[in-house]
Amino acid sequence: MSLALLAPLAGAPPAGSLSIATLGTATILLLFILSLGTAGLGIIGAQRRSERLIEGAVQGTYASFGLAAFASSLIIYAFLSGDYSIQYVQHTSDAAMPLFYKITAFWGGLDGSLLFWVLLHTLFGSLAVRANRMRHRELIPHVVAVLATITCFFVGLLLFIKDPFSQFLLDIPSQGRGLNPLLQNFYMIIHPPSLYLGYVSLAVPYAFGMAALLTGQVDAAWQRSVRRWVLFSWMFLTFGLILGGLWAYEELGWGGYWAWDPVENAGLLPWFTATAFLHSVMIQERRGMMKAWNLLLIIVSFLLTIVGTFMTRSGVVQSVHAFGSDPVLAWTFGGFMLLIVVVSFGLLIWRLPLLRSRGELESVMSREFAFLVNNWLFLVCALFVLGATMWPTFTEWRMILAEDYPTLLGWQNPGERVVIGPPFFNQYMRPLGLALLLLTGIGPLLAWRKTSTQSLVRQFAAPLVVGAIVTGISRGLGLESPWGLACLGLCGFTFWTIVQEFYRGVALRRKQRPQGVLEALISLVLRARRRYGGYIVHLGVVLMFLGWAGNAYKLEKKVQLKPGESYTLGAYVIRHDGLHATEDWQKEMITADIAVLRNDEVKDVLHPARWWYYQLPDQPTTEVSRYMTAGEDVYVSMQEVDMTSGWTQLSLYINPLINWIWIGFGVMLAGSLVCVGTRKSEGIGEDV
Amino acid sequence: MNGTNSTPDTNSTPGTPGTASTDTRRRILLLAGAALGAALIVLVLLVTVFGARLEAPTVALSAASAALVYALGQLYAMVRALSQPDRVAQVGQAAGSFTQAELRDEKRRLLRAIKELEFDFGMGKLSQVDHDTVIATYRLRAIEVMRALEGGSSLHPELARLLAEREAARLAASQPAAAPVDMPAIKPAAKLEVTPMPEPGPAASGPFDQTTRICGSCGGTNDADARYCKLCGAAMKKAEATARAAQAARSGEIGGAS
Repeated sequence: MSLALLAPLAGAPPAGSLSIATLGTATILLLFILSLGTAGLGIIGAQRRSERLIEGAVQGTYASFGLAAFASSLIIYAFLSGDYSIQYVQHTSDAAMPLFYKITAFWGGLDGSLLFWVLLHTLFGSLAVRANRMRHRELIPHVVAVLATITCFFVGLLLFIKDPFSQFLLDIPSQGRGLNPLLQNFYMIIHPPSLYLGYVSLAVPYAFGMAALLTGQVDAAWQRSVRRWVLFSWMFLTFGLILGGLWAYEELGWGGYWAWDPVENAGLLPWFTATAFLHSVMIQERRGMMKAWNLLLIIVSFLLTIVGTFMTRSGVVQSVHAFGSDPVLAWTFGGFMLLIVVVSFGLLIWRLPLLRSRGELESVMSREFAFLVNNWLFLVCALFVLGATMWPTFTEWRMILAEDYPTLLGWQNPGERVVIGPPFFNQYMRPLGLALLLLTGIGPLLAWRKTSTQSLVRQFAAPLVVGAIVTGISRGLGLESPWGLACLGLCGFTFWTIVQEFYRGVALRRKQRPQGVLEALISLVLRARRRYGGYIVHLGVVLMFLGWAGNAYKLEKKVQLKPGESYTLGAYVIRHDGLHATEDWQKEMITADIAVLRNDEVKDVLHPARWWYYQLPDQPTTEVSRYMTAGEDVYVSMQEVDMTSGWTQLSLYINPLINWIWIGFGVMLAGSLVCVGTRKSEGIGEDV
Repeated sequence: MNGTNSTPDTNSTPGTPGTASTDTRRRILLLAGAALGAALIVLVLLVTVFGARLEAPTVALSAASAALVYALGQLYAMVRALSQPDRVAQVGQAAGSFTQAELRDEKRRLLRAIKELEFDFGMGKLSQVDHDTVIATYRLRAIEVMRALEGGSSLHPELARLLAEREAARLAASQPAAAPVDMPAIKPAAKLEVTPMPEPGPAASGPFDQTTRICGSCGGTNDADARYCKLCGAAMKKAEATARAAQAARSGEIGGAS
């Protein structure tokens, strides 16, 4: 290897030597060939029942991860050493960026994010194959073949369309353009990788599902292996979505956290179907029902991760943080999605006779039925969000087609590109969300198979009373929004069902053996982790809904204040105490001092700011400041400022209960961690 | 280069997962050690020979060399695996040949279902009548599945014939006048309790290995994790203790029979 690799460390490279870019592209080429070979070995090995070929394919999977890690470390090295001969490095970094942001710039742009995808995919593939190769030897060659085919597609994109190592052929710049300032935020270090982790890990359940269909082993074995993976994906998708919300809340300065942006919706779509799968897989485990449905959900979840990637990277949707328009990439993704649909659904239809249910639904008053309705609702949510997100794109396509084929489509008025905003989404998602919250409460009250009519009253009485009391108190406090009241009432109802389940479970356990309350509670949760871990997740959901209910009572106002002036919003007085300008080596900053008073007492002094990065002076960022309490947030962002006169345009918001969303997310995460740890208790004692 | 070797995994069988996992772990540790060693050597070379400063890019280049060593190690393992002599792999291709696995799933589902029903009943979600009706149905189905599992074992036909002959001979020798062991009738509202046999048969032996347990009450063979005997319903823990004592006394007989 030539010393040119060290060029960024020690001056310019000698002409004609091996550079980072060349080595990186060669690695990607090798990875492409290796993935093709691995897929081929897996398929032929399974067909010939050849242990040698299968072992070769397994080792090929591990080697793919090694090469992906090498390519990734090369691009990180290029970022850290400021190798601006590589276009991607020049476009997304500059010398002044802090070390952390230089590393995270790896996935800050389109090309790098695809390489990051390949890195995670090969890592998860290797881990999944290593963990299951002895337990499910019969599935492994097919799993390896499917995973390697997916790797092949993404590496092919890197190789032929979006090479992150492509160089400037002429006029190599000496400076980088810098990462978008909006992305230089703590949450953006964690948010994209977390979403990617969720997205990419869904390929593993898909590969196992396809292997089950290919081999005809559609019993519970495959889904026992993947349930944990789906839970893992679900956790990271949730984590990524919430961090995305926090980023929007703290960085964009419009006082909200979710605006149904297409890119965020892309993360939400597989979350809906993965959540549906986590519920319906329980029915298959217990009753042998819904085998085809579960496979369908796994296929759709994986497909939606590809749809999400397509939406984010092809430019078909307009978003605040899409990567830009690229028709070649759009067509390539379109072809891959079509292949997935044809192959997956073809296999599913071929194996339908093997997927017939062993059991049948005995009563609508059963938990199975509640789960079934829950599944329908999640699927409706996914389809609605997908349709509404893509609708503007469909209208645009219709316009293009009408222009290209006026004789065929000229009779209709193509109109303009339709814009679907948050109110449309909220109008339909609000009732769907409340219906899901209601089911979250009802489900645990019902028994598997059949709930006795006599016990229904006993189960539902207390939660209904609590729900009614909460609604009554909220109304008494002067809250008027019917949606808000319904949400608060359902939160009360669902919260009490969870409390009741824990209380009765502890009481039953104490009746069976002499234990203290705490000991019985801990042993109950540990003994049936999935059941009680699930209830803890539900508790988190209730808290999050509580936070969303607060949205109905939000106060907002745009004001112009000079230093010394005040404005009253709700129970608070907002006082402008002055402005000051500062700068550092990366940006100029204007910061305001805003006092928050309640009952004439200063509660906090907030410091909203505007930052102008030297690299991108046309894109100033809004730095939000907020006074947080359990009951509400006082949120201030600075929109415009005039340093000579002191006039400052501020956006003021009072967001009731909003912090319960983040607290609820923490509870959800804790619950899902309880659920994950079920390996040692998968016997019949589980869930009782 | 790094001593990677795929043969232990390649040659391992499903019956020896312990050895395979130990070898795999050793191989991973060796490869990780080699990768870290390479990173350290590159770091030292960069700093001492090429005069690079010990800062982020230098560390990143060392990490890249570790990744390269890992990748080359795995590529070597792949080539080595492909150069090994071939064996027939355990790959499921024919649909419909996995009824045993499905039956085991069904059995586990039914036993869990019974336990859950009892828990839901304890939580007050089911009335006594519903509980008794549903649970009796599931107990019957569980017994059916367990019987199907017992009869549908995938033994070699010759071995199955030999075992059947031996079992018949054992029954004839131990209980000449006894009727064949039958499943007790299940009453709809009754727990799965069956009157235990008064004394364990003197020659209560069967295919006794690590995956089965012998009921001390009736001598029937049960799964290793069984709590109650599927033939007579006696609790296995208690029954097993009796069986162990009986087996210790008859060790010569079991050895002779095998």
